[in-house]
Amino acid sequence: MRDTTLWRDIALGAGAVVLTGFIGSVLATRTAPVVEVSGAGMSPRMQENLEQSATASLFGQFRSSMADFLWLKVDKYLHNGVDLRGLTADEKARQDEDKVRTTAEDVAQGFEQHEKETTIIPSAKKDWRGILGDVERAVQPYEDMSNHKHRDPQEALPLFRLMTASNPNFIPGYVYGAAMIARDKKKYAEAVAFLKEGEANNPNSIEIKTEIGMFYDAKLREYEKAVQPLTEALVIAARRDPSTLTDDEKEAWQNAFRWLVLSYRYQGEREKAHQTALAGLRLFPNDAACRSQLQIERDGTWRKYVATPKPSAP
Amino acid sequence: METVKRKLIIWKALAYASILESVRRKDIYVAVILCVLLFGTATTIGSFGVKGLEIFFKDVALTIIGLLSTVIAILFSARQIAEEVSRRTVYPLLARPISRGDLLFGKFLGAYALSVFALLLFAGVCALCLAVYSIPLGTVFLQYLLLRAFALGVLCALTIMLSLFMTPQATTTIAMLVAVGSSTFAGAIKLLYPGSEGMKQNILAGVYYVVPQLNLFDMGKKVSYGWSAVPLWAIGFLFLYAVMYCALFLFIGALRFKRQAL
Repeated sequence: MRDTTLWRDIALGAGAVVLTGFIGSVLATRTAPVVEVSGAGMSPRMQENLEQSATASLFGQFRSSMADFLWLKVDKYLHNGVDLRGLTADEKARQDEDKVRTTAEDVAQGFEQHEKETTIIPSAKKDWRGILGDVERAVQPYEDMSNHKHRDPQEALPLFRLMTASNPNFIPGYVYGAAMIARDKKKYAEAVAFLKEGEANNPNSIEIKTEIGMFYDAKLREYEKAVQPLTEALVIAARRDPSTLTDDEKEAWQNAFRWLVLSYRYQGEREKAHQTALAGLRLFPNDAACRSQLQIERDGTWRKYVATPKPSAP
Repeated sequence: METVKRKLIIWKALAYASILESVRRKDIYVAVILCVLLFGTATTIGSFGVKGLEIFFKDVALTIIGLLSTVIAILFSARQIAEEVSRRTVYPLLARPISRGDLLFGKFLGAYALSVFALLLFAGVCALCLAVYSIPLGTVFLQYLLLRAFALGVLCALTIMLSLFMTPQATTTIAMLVAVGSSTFAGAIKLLYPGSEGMKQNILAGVYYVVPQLNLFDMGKKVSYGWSAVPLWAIGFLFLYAVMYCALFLFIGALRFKRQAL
């Protein structure tokens, strides 16, 4: 009698995977009305359903993991496959790590500077592994990153689309995706549309609303349109328990004050700009934009900041 | 010279018998079914459009090739000796003028040939799927396949050696852990080494050099991101590295097999 236990187990395992996939696809279709949100965002009822649905929770977990995976892929994509990692406490103290720095040209284009990162594969100078290290540097993507340039981020755009499609609640995907789209000046409107899709899926996101306000203020110069999303961001942030805000949300909250002050300033709404600046300084006493608002009021120069209205289309 | 010729004939016959047995048991169907699943998945994903996602798709395809070929190699190898023993077919084999070492090496060659065949099958299907969507892999893909084939040799030898010490299930689990965890393990040692001192540092370095670094054979990222070909010295070194580990594992396996009561 042949022992076919191993292959029977494999067949059973493969069958279980296929069956799970099939059941999953059926359940996904059934839960879609619960998980997916309408163009106007989730109603409180839908939010409640989502929180109570076990299947939605299960698929939500998968979606989150997929989005996180793609998020990591984007970073690798921009660095041509070269793996980076954060510095350890020892490395921070010693300051002798392999430097990873973005070129000035790329920083000017909006890429972040890496001051607390290094390459996973060490440089030949710092590597203790001898020829095994040399081989790894030859067969894996590796280069000196002390003054590196990034790949064209336009190529990473589909990944942002994919990550927000797989997890519509993945807020960094919308925020950074919009920033990538907006690197092409002709595509500001497309970037705002992407953010609005994110806003619809995440109606309580401080970051997305602030980003929309920033786009209207800084990119499109449509200051009056920036007021609503920024005000909403401030209202949402004020209602939240400050101790539960993430660092990104806190930063977005402060930025919402800044952009709203600037929006009112450029529209010539001095009193509103003044009140917003005071409210902002109560929470963020060192905020430069809010302080400068009070300063230009004291100097009496605020009128020269009022933007000339755009000529209307013929 | 005569002995070498005789050995070659024995090894070839044993390897051929392993392959025939696998074909007779329709094991290769598993690989073909996985290929069909691969093609189906690629077609489904491709229907959503692949524009701009070329690197991502290449990355996923190469990860799948690596994973499936690893699984197949381990499963083929894990049961080569164990099944001969459990089915008692090992006795008529050893009654012939062949040593236990010959049997082990012949089985290794059979498992290795099947694994490389499965690798080429998966690679062919993935390359075809990517070609359908006009995603080029470049000549560096051939180097990727070569290094994967080297890695499969190490894996087959390791698995056959482990199968002489433990049950097929335990062998499969440990071999999978070594294969899949190699990269994480190497990364952890690279991270821990600079922060450690003295004996601790020596132990870390020792472990790094002793455990086969299978992640060195994975050129998937170089292919995905369109890097140029790897210098020949690196390929040559990895060939020797793989041969060394294969010899070591088969030697340990042969020692164990010789002392094993059947």
